[in-house]
Amino acid sequence: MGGGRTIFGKRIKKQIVKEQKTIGVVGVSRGTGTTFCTMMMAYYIKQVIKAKAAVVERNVSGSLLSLPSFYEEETIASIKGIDILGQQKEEKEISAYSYLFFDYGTRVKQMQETIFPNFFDCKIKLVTASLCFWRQEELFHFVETWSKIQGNEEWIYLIPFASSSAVKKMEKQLCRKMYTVASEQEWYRMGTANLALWNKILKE
Amino acid sequence: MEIRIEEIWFEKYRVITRLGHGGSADVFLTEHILLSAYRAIKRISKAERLHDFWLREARILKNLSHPSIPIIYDLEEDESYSYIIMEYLQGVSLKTYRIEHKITEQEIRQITIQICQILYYLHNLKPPLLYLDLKPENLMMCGTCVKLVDFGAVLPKKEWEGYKIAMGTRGYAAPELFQKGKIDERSDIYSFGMLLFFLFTGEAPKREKIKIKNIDCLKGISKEWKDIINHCLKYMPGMRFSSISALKERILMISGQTKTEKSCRIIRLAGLGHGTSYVCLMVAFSLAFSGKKVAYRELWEHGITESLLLLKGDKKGKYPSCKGIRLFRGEEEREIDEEFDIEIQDYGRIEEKAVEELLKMEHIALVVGGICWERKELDQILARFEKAPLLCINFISGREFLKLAKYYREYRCLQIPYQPELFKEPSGQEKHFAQQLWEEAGLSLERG
Repeated sequence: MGGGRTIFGKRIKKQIVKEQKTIGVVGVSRGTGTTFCTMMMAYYIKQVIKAKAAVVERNVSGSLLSLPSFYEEETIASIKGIDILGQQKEEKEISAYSYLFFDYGTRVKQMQETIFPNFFDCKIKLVTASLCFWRQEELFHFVETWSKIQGNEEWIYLIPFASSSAVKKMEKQLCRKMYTVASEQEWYRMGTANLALWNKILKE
Repeated sequence: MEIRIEEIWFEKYRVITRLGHGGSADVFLTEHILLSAYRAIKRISKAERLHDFWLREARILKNLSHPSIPIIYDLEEDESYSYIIMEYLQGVSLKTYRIEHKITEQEIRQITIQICQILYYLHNLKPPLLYLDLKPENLMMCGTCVKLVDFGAVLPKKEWEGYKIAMGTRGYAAPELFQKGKIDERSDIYSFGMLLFFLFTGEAPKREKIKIKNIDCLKGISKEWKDIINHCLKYMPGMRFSSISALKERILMISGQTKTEKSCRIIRLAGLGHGTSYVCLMVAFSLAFSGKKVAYRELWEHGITESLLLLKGDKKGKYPSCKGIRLFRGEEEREIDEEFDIEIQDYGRIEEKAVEELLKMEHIALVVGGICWERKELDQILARFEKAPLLCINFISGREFLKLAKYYREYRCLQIPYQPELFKEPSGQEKHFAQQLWEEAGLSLERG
């Protein structure tokens, strides 16, 4: 991504973030692109919005924790300028970031933990899912499982690699907000479709 | 030392003429007096620095038995020399043959298939042997038969790490032979590619020039052969044909003469959550689209076959199928009248219990991602495999794929093409990918 100060020709002013924004991301099942989407969004915030962003790995077996920096018992790693925080961070340390992305992986249980802001406390709640026809049952099950939680209708579903028509159809069927995440071969290089998507979901 | 013609060695061999001089050895044509049979004798000076190394050739050859490899009859020595008595081959080197004859594509095909058979024999010995000096000077044309000579550079595969001397011939030798990289069967495949180049063009690669001009621009060579040459000459071993069998299979396909296979190829795909089942079905469809009889077998409990039958099942098929692909679940057996060209076995995500079973299997393709934070998990799984699986890398750009292929240079790596719509007419890239898995699965027939 280049200077990234414009989207579709409109100049984006550097956002003065008054309040820390927390974004919780959970996957309906493994292999739905939870970490990939989280890293994409964090990179968007850093590069386009020019705000300080970090990703907190909330999944005990999360792949971000396998980064080399964590081998030496560091509690922070960095990829392309995005800080990746291990789980045991002091509150004062995470308050330095304007945007905090919490990657819950597929650990539904951890969504409810109270150590750090849990999924339900996050300002924006995102769910990744697959629309492969043999995996749709997982999505239905997830929606049904959490249907009793207040505000679950406002959760946003991100569907990587699905066609817009398939996503619209599922959106109608489940009465949930759904967006397709366009295919990107590298999480730090985004096309206009995904830039527009993150702008829509993450804007003030 | 001056040799007199008619001189008798060891009371058995009458020297007829000197055939040649190569490296640090002289080769003579002799006649076994009692048997009235010709013998070639390679004489190596004991003062020669590489004397012991050349004797290795005799020790290696004496254990080989193949119609295209000369027989070693005996080993003699005197104060100054060691003598290797071997079968005399009447013919000319392939180099001379190529220069003196106009060689047709059909002839090249026949010659190269024979070379593949010889290399297949060597690579499948226990322990496997790597030839490492394949070039036209080391191949003899004895009538229409090809014979491989000069085993001075042969190396048992397991000894590659102790390989200190740069052997092979510049121009024909694979890059890793001079860079002290890992050496395996694919090093011979590189030399094979250079040999093919020579056979088609008559142009020997220059000693100091390893790279040759763009293959695709050469005239008078069909696209299929160019593809084969290009595939053999990839700089990174992981990008070349993975085995001589795969290479031979490709050559056989050129004239449409594939092996008649009553047996079914098998390829097993497993993964780490990067679309294994999707890739299985994409490949299955691509092969079915090209006219092959394909079976897909779901070996993990994910309900894929059920979903496929429900949503996209073929209404008129005799047996459960979807888009021409026969579907199996678990260990279901085929019907007696069913025959397939290939069975794609979907092991889905590698779980702990499944790993132990897969570790011992052959012809495994792992569907993996290429992102940095996924690498540790992949490395841990790969370390446990007894036989190196084929790595099929999904969701990755061409540039990142090349970096990853370099990192995993010990493995054969393929890039999975992007296809968001299953069962759409396959693109060229999908067909190519499916073809590569088809070739990989071909190994399951060679080894049973």
